[in-house]
Amino acid sequence: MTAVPDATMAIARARGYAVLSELLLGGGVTLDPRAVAAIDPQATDLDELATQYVAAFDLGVPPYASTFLEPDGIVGGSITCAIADAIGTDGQRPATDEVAACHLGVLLGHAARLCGSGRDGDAADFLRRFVLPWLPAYTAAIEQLPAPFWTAVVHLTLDVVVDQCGAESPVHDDATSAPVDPLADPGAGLREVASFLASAARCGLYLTEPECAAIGRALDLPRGFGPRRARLETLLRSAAEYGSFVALCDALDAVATSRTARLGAIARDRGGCIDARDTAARIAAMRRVLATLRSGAQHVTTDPSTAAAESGTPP
Amino acid sequence: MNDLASRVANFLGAMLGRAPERTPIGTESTNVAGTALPEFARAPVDPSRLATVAHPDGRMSTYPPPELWDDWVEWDAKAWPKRVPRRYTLVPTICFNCESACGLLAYVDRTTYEIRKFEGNPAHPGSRGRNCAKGPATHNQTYDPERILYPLQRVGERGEGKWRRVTWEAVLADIGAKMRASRERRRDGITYHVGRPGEDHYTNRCITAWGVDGHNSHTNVCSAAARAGYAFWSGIDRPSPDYANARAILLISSHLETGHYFNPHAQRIIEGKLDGAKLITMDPRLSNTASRSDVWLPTWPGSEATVLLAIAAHLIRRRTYNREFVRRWVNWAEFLRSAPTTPDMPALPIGAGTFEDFERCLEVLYDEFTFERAAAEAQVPIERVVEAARIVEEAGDRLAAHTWRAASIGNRGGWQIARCLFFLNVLTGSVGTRGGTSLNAWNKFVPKPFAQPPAFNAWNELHMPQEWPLAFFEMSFLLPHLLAEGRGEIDVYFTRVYNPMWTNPDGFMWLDALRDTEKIKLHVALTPTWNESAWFADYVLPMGHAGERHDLMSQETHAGQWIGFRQPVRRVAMERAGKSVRFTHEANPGEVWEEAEFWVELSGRMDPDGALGIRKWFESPTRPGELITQDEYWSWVFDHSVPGLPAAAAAQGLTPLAYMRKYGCFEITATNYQPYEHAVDEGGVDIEGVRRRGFPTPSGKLELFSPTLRDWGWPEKQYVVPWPLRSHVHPDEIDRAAGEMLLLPNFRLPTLIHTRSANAKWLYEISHNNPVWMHVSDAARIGVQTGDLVRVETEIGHFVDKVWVTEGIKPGIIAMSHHLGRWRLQESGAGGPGMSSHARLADDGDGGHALNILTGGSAWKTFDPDTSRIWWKDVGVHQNLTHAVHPDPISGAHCWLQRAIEVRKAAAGEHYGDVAVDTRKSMAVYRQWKALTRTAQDHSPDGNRRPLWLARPLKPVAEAYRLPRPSTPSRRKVVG
Repeated sequence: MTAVPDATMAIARARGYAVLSELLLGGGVTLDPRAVAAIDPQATDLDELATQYVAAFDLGVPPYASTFLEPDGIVGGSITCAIADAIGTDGQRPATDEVAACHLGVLLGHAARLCGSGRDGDAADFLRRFVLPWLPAYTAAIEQLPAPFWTAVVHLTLDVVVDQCGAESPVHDDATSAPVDPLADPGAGLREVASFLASAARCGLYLTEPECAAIGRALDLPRGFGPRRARLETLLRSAAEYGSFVALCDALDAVATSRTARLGAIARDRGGCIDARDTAARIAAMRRVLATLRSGAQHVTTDPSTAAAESGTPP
Repeated sequence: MNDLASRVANFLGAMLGRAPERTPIGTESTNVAGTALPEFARAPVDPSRLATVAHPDGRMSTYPPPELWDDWVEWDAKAWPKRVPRRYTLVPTICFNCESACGLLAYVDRTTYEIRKFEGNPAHPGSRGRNCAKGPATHNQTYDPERILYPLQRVGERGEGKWRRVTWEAVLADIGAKMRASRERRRDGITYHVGRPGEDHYTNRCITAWGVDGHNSHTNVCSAAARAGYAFWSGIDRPSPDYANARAILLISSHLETGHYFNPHAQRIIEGKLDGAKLITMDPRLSNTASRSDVWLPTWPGSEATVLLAIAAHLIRRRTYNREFVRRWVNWAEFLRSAPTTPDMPALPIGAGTFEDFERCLEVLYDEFTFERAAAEAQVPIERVVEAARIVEEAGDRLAAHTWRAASIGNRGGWQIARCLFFLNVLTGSVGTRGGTSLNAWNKFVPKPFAQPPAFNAWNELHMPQEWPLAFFEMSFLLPHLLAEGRGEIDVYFTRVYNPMWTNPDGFMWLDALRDTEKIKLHVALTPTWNESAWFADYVLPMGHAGERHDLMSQETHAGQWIGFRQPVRRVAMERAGKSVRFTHEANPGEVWEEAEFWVELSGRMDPDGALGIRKWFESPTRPGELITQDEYWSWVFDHSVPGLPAAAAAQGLTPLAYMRKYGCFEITATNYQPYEHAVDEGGVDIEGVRRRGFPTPSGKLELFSPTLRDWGWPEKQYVVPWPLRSHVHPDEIDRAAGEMLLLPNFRLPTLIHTRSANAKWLYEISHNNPVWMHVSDAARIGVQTGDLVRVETEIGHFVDKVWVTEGIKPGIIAMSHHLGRWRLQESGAGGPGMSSHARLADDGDGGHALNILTGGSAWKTFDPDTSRIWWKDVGVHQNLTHAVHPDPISGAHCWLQRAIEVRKAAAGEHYGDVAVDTRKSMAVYRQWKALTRTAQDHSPDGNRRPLWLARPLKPVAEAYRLPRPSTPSRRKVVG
């Protein structure tokens, strides 16, 4: 598209972001066939797409910046406020009756408006600041879900964003602080480990519910109910209680390995315009945590009589 | 082209072939009032130049011209020295911060829809582009960090301060159901208690449609006495002076000119003075107006009538009054017929009953009012009285005179002060003349709505009790006392931009009433701001400020007629941009709504199936069965009910509604002098063989002699003709030797808005405390200096305040401005800490109440850095709590002046802001004053509760006026 005049490109981007935004914001309820066709002309079963939408975003991976950038993953915190402030500074108020300001659809909608008013540079800055740091990891996560159309939407979104933002210089995928080791605290237990694993900002990847379910089924471990963190904690405790902790660590490590590979592929596929090193570093840190846990668990399994004296309960 | 570029090219290339998308966001605007400081977009174009508008009368000459209002660009003043352009759409609205309805222009950012500022609307005929401090402060109110943004419902006990947010739909459903239940049982169970009406017919139409006697105004703590005085003369209850063209301006105090109507009146007084008019002011306090007067008469309160009659007697003796006007328009023949049988009337030379005989009678009757007597009673130099008389005499029929509150609402019998003042207008023939004094009905225009519900058939004894058959109007300030006497209970009680517990006298009686869920079963506070009474409500419903609501207003600012259209400016700006807004709360901050839409929706819920006959009055005239929208309502009004507006709009290619949305006002006539002289085919009054419109009195003439007062139990001379009545604060009633003083509590400052100033930090920065004004001689006697604490004891309690020692107050009198002394019962979340004190209430369960200040005003941290800059702590003392009620037996006005039984330096342990009251004394004083009345039951000449011809805000059918039979419990009286 480099041969296209800037103004034309801005219009195209404005319309493109608007289509993507509309799909991401309204896909679960109202789908515009024209917008769907712009992504996949073969996708004509709108009911099926709506079902996929729920699987992808409502039950799968929430498309919120906060989910990937806030340490606790909670929407409505400082990231949401920062985004709302940024949008407000540009004279807009995010339509937050249904979704928070950090929703990917809202972010793209704002980018559409900026491009539409000829502010391509401002749009790129905005995307670079609030979208690109987490969208690669999000893309890698959503691939795990049974939602091919929406996975395509997210991939296309990443394409367009990278095309706009990456042209000037490679961008880092994550601007958050250095990786945190949950085991650094001697008092940490499985709850803290579960919190760590539930935080995409800390462990570098979002463990999706289908992935956790698959692990649970494979190891015959209950996951319980409740929030994702609680279910991860139940999974960990179940594994400890039923002697599957090493296997669980291995399974989680396999997820991390696979995700690292996908992340690399996603980056490569965008011609090196994504620098995923930060995310990869976090995943690597997660793998080290898993290795430590695995080692401890092996020790307990090998010599249960000393395990109680040394560590009491599984870590 | 690599894969990425190829994919993007394919997608974006396809996008270029598409029609533009609706951007999912970007159609939304910012709306941060109450939550954040507004942001404004940078405009992409250079600013326009401010146009110069030439005005012949010298008013401000530069405004944005209306043709540029839709797209106005100017430099951002706050960005200086940077040149940052901002682009606005200018939306006119009407100020809501007093009743004079000045025009405002809201500068609404075209991108964010945030409001940058409010300035004057040059197209407005009343304010003519000018505003007082209260107008621009609307911005401060709009972005007040302490705003109530959402409907709140009480949780826990009343006054406990626990609230939950509820939806408007839940509010409408619950209140609508309760109103329906009440209406099905009776027609006096719903009360609408209005503080600031801010409009002229809309809500009254709603109440009428509900079929209940539900209107309860604040008039009896405001203007009742003046209304009575003017109405007994003319049938119209409000004056409208033509200051700009006057030769003499005579003000009894200066309540409106210094305070309430400050802007439109003050600018015209200045114009009159620049043109040579002389200004006379009677006021025991050296007000701003008094200090700029040619003659200041610091009269002892209650003596004003004597001074006025001395001037009248001067004109009568010298035959310098307008004899022709008096002969044609005064009911002098009635006077001559009735005088012989009038108690206390001296022997008069009635003779053959000619006009000349009347003139001789007049001279005899008023001969006792000499300058010497006036000077002695008023305690002013006689030279000033003589000078005032000379100025009035020379003014002829260009005497613009005014009283509204002040002395008339201050004194028992104050209505006679208004009557004596208008006597001078009658004598000089300056009634409705150029430079004279018109009546408000001539200078105010109230259009008719698309359908007017019929008068209701009910009488609410809690509003209009039989003891005060001539009251103007509802005895609203006595509501707690009437409830305490067991006269009834209220099913649904709306307080509308009103804070009755704080504003009315005897506030602890209100506290007891508001706490009583048996007496007041549901209290709904419709308010833009937190207030003391709302704290004791069941629902607190946020209503809009000046730029957040629809209202139509007209006020008698001068000799013309105009209407002003208050608009929700963000909504209008969004609609100009093509955005659809169904309800105004969608465009206002949070979920702040407006009454106009709220009443429609509420009435629809009250009568969902139309069974009560209510719903039909709220349905669209063009969409049967659907509730009416504001556009529909006002379109009809402007299309059909405002003379000249359709033509003016058509000349600009606009609909009448579009015209009003663009300009915010319309001038119906620039002058409207002496309309009573207009010849008519029907009705009116015969004046020398020609039927003329006349006055809406029983005689059609100006009633020097009032048959109404005579027939309704007040036949004595001092009631039926203009005459001084002895005030409850007459010098003989104040034992100054024993340390008693007169407390003048009802003057106001022009920068305050009753109880809503406390949400405008800018205004509080100008004036935030109400010290006790005390003359230097009294201060020396008591031993206090400025800043010392004094304890003032009233009939029912006491308060402690700081003193301000000054020559600007008459000896023997202390004065305090009202509007200050706001308090809150919670440290935060109940109003701005910078503008109210954190206070504690206590009571002993036996009538003893106390209010003590825990902390005074202080800075507090919000998103607005301005709240951190509060530099004052003294935010005033709530004096009204200590005022006993003083219902005038005729006008029903609360006579505000108080007898200060003791004024002394505060002792150890007495703190600033302390208030203590014994409500047993409250009831005792109430009963003393009630005993002065002459009830309709005892004195009605025709079996009615009230003269049919006298005004009421909402008049029921004639049948409802019939007095109940003794066996019928009056409080349950439902007629029909």
